[in-house]
Amino acid sequence: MNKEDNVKYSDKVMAEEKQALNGGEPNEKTQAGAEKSELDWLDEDIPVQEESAQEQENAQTSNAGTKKRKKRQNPNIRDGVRYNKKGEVAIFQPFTVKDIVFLAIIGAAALITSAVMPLVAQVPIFGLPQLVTGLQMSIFPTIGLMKVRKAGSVFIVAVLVSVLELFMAPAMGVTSLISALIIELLNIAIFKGYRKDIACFVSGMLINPMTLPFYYLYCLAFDTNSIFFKAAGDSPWVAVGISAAVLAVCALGAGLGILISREIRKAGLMKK
Amino acid sequence: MKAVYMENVRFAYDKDAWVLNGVDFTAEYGKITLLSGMSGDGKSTLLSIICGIIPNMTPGTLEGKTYVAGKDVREMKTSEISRQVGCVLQNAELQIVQAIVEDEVAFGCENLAMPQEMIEKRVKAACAMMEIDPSLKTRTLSGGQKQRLITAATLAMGQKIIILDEPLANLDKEGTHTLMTALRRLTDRGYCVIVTEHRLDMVLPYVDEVWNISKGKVKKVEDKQAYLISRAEIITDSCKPPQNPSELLRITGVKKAFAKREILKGIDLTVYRGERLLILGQNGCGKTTLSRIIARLERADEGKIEQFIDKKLGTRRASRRWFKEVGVVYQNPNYQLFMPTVRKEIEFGAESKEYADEIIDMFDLHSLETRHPQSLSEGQKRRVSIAAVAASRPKLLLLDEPTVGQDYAGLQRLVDVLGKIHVRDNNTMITVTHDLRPARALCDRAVLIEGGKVAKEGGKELVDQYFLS
Amino acid sequence: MTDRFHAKNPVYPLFGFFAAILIFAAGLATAKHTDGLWYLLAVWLWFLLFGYWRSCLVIIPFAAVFSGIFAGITYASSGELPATLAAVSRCVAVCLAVLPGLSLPAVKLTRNLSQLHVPRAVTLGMMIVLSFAPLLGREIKRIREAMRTRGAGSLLNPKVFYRALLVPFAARLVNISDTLSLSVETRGFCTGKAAYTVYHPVKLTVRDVLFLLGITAGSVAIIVWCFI
Repeated sequence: MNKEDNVKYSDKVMAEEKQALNGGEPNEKTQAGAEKSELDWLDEDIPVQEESAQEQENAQTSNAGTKKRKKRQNPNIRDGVRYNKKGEVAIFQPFTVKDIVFLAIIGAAALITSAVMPLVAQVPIFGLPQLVTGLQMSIFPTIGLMKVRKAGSVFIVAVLVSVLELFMAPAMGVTSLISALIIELLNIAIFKGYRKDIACFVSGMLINPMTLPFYYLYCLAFDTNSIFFKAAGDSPWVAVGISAAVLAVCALGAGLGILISREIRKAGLMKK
Repeated sequence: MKAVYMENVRFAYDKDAWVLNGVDFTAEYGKITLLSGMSGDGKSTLLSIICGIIPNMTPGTLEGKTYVAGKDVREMKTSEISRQVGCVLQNAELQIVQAIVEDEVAFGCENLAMPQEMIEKRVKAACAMMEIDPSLKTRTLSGGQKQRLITAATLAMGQKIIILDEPLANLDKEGTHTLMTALRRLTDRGYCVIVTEHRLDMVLPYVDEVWNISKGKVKKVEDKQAYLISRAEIITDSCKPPQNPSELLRITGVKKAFAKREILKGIDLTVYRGERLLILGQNGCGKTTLSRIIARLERADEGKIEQFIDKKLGTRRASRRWFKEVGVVYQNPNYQLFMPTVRKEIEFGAESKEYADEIIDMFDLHSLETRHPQSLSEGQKRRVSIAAVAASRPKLLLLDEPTVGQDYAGLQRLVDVLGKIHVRDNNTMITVTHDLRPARALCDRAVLIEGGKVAKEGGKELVDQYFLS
Repeated sequence: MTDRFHAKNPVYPLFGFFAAILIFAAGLATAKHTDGLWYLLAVWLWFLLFGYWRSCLVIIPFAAVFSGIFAGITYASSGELPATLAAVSRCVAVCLAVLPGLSLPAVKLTRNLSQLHVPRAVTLGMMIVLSFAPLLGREIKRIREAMRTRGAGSLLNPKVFYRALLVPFAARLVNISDTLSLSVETRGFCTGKAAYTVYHPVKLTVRDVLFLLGITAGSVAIIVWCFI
């Protein structure tokens, strides 16, 4: 409740400023008695004014709290980079619209190139879906990391993509969310973000293989009758072998991702 | 108060490379202002400053004063500017996020936190103004419809300053008229509209003020007509049409439909060996489709194309060998460039290093040789893609809008080079273009496509007739 | 992509989502019991009752082929009838669980999430993933075609694959995302906590509650029946 009002308050301030600024200028229709035309919707209520009138009531209730909050808002962000108390660059950087859009596009690219996934996921061979999608699921996320370079990027891609997966293959969606979380934690523990290329490489490489353990559990839980699962279930070495293959494919993909990013950065496309 | 006021503005993406160098520019409420200039001259940069993209989203060094709606842009956040300035960017297709037209139009209104009933009214009105059905699915729209959709999405937000960057790119004459009269109605109500467009002849009748941008400076143009004439200087050529040529392609009864919409309704056309054929027509008339069918990138639904280039090339298959004989230059050069340097790009298709050198010489690419093709400006990319395709010495060269983004001097050089190659290799060239400047010089024979058929055939006089009437 | 599945009046998106999870879980859990099939049939009829007739019909041939294949594989490998039946159950359960998602126009889902104050960055991201996946598919086709005109050779050659597909595609991704993010931002979108409204909010109706209650009751009942 409180939060919401705070938000609207800042908007209200903005709106008022603008109103003062516009006062009487072309925003208002100046010719009195001008004919009503079908374009009147444009002049009737300018969104800013409308909004301010609406918000005024909402904002009144929690004025004091808002001001406090406003002051506290992001004192440590300079030029879009957040610093911690010691003045070092913080691990968690704020995401811009640009970052989100790029990660979403990356997600779309990974998704469209692995469109066979929901079908393959039902084929009861352990690790097959990971093997089939390993390359694209490592190349594109790595490129995303190389451009955005902010902790949490892997998780965001996972969230965006898994919402779709949840509907197509629920188990897959959940697994990819959990494994993305694990990858982020690992990254923070070891590299403290994605400033180094090697951090991008490691996380990009792990995205797909990280789902294998969960997939293994899933296999055990639901399908022990099928011969394919028996192969994986009875002899752990089969599972290990497939996992190694998946890891190799993903390492290759992540490596390619790094190479590609470096090349397009050279071409001047990776500019922030 | 001026809607936009700029005084001595300088901007550089990288240090000291000033894209804009001392710009004084104003735009007023109640007027349509045209900003004209070649791509690479800083048009888009200037617009980016006005709508807050620079310096909020694209960093760089910005100097001088810029006031939008009476306020210094540097003191405004992007979200604040977006309430004052509506911005219709290029490449409409890449900006559509929603599945249904009305949702896309509502998107901006939602962001401005308008109440629901207001959004509803605005969506309806904006769609009516842009003549687009709000219940359509965005994915099934044509290029022109997408452009109108994105325009409607901005108009619905109701900012008083509206910027349109090349809004006519996908519109035909009627579409242009719809858009420009809509904008006129807005300015009559006190809006400020700023438009950039390189096809001057299309927009000049509708605009109030013209500013020319060139080499980082902006000047107000007083005499519109004289300006149009100065901009439309016709490039000449020295090539002669071939004498008694034999047939190269015989196109009979070619039909093509996309999603039940018939684009080509039976094209009959013969292309002769060694000629330069120009294909004219409105946007969306099927010029590009026809050239793609000729290039075997698309299959015709009906009809056939016989080729007399080489018997081994058969009638249908677009083999590697086919593309060795038939060079295709895309409208968008971004797709065709893939090597890490310009030099390698040219060498890729060239028969020998020496020939690559020659081509680099001819196209004046020495200074760009080591650059990454993707790092070039659009105009440069286009030059490189033409050079790279020409390097493989195709017998038939298909050029789709090869001259967009080239300034006069660049254009003259390009036409000369194409002419030289044409004479030396005796190749056949088919060009599709909107650009009236080089049209005459790229043409021995012209055909006009209208209503899905070849409506007229003729020589250079057809070009004059088409562009100047 | 999924347009022909869209139901005219789908249930409240969040409920559809819960229903999918329930069906999936209950369907898999009870796959080894013959009664599980009755449950699945009941779910299908329940969907039909709630106006999902179009997607219910479209899914039939798909489910038939899908479960047929796996039934075949399972029977060939194990030779046991119960195992085969279980495979069929699983496949049908998956197909049914997919129904609410398939029948839901994406915009309803994102509106619903926006209403529930899910960060707008997430809903925008989802919209982009959805609407740009097919566009990127076209983009790949275009690049491949353009590379063919340059005579770049077969994509089975890893070098060509890298140079003539991956790099240009990545470059396109960056270009596309630059254009899109500019467009979105100039249309007033921001990630911060700015106020926004939802055009045509999704309303929760008695029908939606009834739908979810039915699915929940059925799922609980079948699990209780099979295991207790």
